[in-house]
Amino acid sequence: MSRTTQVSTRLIIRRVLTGVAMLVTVSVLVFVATQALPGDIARTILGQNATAEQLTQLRGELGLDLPVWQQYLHWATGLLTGDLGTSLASGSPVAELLRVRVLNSLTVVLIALVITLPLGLLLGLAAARRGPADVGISAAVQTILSLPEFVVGIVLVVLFGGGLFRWLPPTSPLDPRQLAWNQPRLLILPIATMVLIALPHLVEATKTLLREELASDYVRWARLSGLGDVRLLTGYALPNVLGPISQVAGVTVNYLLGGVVAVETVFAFPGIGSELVAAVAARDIVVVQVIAIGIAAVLLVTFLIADLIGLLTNPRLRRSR
Amino acid sequence: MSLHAQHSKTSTSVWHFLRSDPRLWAGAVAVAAVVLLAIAGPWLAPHDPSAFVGRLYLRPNATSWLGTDVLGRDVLSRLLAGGRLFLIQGLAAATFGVLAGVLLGILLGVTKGRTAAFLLFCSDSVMVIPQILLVLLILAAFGSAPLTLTIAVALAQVAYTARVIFAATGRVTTEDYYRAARAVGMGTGSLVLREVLPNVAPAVLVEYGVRLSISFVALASLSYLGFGSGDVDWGAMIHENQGGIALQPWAVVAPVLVLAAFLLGMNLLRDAVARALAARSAR
Amino acid sequence: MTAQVAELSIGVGSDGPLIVDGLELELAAGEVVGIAGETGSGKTTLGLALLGHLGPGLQLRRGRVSAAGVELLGPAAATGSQLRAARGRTIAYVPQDPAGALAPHLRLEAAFAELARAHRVELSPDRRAELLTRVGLPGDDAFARRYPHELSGGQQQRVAIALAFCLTPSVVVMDEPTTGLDVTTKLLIADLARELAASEGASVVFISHDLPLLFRVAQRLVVMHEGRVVETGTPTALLEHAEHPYTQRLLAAWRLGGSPAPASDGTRQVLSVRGLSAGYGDVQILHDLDLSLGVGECLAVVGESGSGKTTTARAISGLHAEHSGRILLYGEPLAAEVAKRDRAQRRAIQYVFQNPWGSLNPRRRVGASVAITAQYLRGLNRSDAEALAVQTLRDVGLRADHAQAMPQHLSGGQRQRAALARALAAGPEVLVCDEVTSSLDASVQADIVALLKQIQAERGLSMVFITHDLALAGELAHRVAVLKDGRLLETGPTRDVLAHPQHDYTAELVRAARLAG
Repeated sequence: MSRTTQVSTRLIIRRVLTGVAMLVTVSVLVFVATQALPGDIARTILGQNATAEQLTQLRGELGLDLPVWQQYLHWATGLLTGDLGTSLASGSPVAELLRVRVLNSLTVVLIALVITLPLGLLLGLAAARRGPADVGISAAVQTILSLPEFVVGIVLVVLFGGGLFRWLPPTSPLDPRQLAWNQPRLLILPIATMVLIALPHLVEATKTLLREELASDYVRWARLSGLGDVRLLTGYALPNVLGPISQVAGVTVNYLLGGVVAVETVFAFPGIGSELVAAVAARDIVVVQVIAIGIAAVLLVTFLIADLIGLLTNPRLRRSR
Repeated sequence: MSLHAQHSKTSTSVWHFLRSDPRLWAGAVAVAAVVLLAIAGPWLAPHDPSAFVGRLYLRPNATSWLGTDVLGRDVLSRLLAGGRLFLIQGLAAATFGVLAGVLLGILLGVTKGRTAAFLLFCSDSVMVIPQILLVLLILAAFGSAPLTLTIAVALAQVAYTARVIFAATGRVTTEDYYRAARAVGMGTGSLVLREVLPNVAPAVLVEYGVRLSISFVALASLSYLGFGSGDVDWGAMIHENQGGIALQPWAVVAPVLVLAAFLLGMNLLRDAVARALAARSAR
Repeated sequence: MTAQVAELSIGVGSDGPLIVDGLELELAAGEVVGIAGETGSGKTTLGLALLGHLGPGLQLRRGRVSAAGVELLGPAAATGSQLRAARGRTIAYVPQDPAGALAPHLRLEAAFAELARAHRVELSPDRRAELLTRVGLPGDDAFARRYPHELSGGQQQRVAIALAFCLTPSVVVMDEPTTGLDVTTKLLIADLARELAASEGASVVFISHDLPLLFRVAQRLVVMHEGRVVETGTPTALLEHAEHPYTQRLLAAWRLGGSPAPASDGTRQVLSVRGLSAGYGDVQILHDLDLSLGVGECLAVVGESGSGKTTTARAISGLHAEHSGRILLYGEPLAAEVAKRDRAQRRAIQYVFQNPWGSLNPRRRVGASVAITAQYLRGLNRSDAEALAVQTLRDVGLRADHAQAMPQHLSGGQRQRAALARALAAGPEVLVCDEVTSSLDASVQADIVALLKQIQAERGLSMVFITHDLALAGELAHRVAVLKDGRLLETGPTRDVLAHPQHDYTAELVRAARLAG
């Protein structure tokens, strides 16, 4: 086995184990934040006017009379075996409630990701060379970064969805009997909003990484040895920042997943974001816990993949034999 | 050059750089305008923000300069009344969040060992969850009263600030002057007060600026989602009047413009200060 | 004449200070020209200007630079593709950092190929092999397939030199090419530069602050100070009759001379180190070291980077807790960590750091930093401690208003004096000086060394003086201990070790140290 593989396998295993440890930690935190803090949870959820009967029923459902660690284990093992619990607000199984919504949100997020990643990298590359492209891109990036996500969505609605130009529908109430994929006109604005939200971070980070690399000694030497700007950017700086860029890509997924909440609310889109808002308003902590852990798990896997790419593309870990 | 002459050259530098930056003035004007509007607003409002002054979704006219909203209330009055609580909450959330984060960050940076490493790991785990999600988690369990909202927004940012200040503290503790202070027998308390704090102060300032922006964005988003406080705020205005955009865009556009001006202005201000600090240390 | 620099003036922006001021220089084929100067002399800017490159924020105010028929800077300067064609081909560059020329993701063979491709020439594997063997590296394919991080610093620098010469340039600029390399490699690189200049017919510009090295490598020396050329000449001529006062000062700073004041009482032992082994995690740095220091004596611990000398100093001062073995102060064992030592012990041994830029709290006035030592280790109240601080600062050659200044307003030499004052304010018995002059310019070093001699004599201090420079040891120390790879190589009275070194390594250190005579 070559030394590259040897070194990386050990690092890979360590990284995977760290990821698992983080998932457990996050699950504990989510559980503690919603269910395990001191105080009468049942009363806090049901409010002042709850009857004794309602309180007892809720306590039974949530298992609040058991010691905390038992509650946690019960909840965690349930998640792992597919039992996502029962919604407090509607009484239906959470899995059923979320199935279609997860697919909807996934469609939008994945398409947005596929558009954002290459676009962000290209814009970052363009902005890395100083010049008019950089100034324009930077201004746009700074503007979008300052604004809340829902404002971006609203601006798009005002411009394209009925305010100025009535090209696209201002809301996206998908027909639950069809796949989201088959209702493209309803997807355009939500996807466009997601792309606009996630793009600035990626562009800024890519530009900064490339600029820093372009300032390295070895790039300066290559320039002093006659190599041109384009070659320096693509053949020298870029290959050496692939690892950090994949981490930035991971953070982009973080922004996309965080953006579902605002975007789905703006467009009345039936996904897990809007469901989360409704669940929070209804104090339905069962649903909230599941969505939170689900998103955290997806993100941890994403970061794991990004870190693994970083390990595999790091030239300083390569060996010539 | 005498020491005194050298010294006075450096101490005027930050302001000197700031003064000539157009970004600073644009940002300052925008922020000041919105803050004034928010503070003085309730007294300047022509009508009672919750009163019915005309039919729904009326375009701007003589009685309602910005028209009416979904329930026939005066948009301008609601605009003027909707800022105070928002500003107070944002300021409070950022201040508490940064204080807690700085305390945690410095503590973790100065005490090494297993507990510190474990807490850092927990902090990193928290950062995996998108911020809005963290806040919503807390709201699900504790409700969305104004104080709860403020605390939730503050808590959701502690981990990030702690990380930044931990790194800044680490840069201090690895310096020789810190080791020298430890070697003469300075206790942890004195070390933190006399060696660490003065040297991480710039980082804390920068971080405070960042947290202010993020807190305001978070609060605006939360009020849009329906978790606002008070009877009238800009985020909720945007949400409730969204359906009537085609009829009466001003009910949405006005609060959007005010929010955007405030947030963009803050960003410009922060940018200008960061540039000035960088320019000074580059000399 | 291969290159010419005429009336070159480069400054910060359009009206900022000048970095290079009216410089004139001519280069001839096959010769090595040494550019001698300290920090701020403008030598690096000159080196880059020879490639037609201005650092960030710098502007050409006047003058021109041309090499091999190409205008590089000035009114008729080449731009774009013409400039790129000249760089790397007509004029080449060897940077200071050995890894600075090598892209981490390219194998050595790819680095050569990239260069050739950029200039659209064919580079045969034979030519590459020839160059690699000329610089003392293996010429085979297996070596050429290596990545830069698989080479040592010295090997990396030699590859950089091979790359520089590979397209037969007329001018090669080497900017401090021996920084961070050990003494053997330094001498090797210097000889290499001279050989290649002769055999390839190129003009080599060798920029360095290391005068002995320049004397070895250069046929002609150009001394730079504050952006101007103050004097030129052959090494011998300069050594015999340097005319400009700055040149004389520079030469004086590098000359062997002086000897330590006699030790007050060399018989009683103040410090004793027995079987010291220290490491950092998995890595072992020191192996079973034995040292001793008499009262009033100065012991120089000499070695290069990696020899373990700093670790020794830190272990003695209690700043490196990961060690085994015994350290005794007047026969009493000392705890490994300074925090566990009692106040009297902490007071007795004081440490002066190498880096003047990191050893003083940048947000506290210098006087206050000095007073803190007196407060904590001598139990003085604030006003007494501050008075003592001012007095101690005067003792090290600073003024009272320096006490009120912030560290940023002091020069490197002044900061180092302040750091010394801080240590002295404790009233120690043993002063541990860790490379305290290494970060300073040669002319300032001499002043600090003189100060240390004076302080030691006045206060009857015992001193452990860590350095990589044997000549400094000769000036200051009664006894010398030479470290290599964490082990004690040889030790004895300074005069004996310098005159009759028992190991080849020590002999090399002696040779590299100073200008003789």
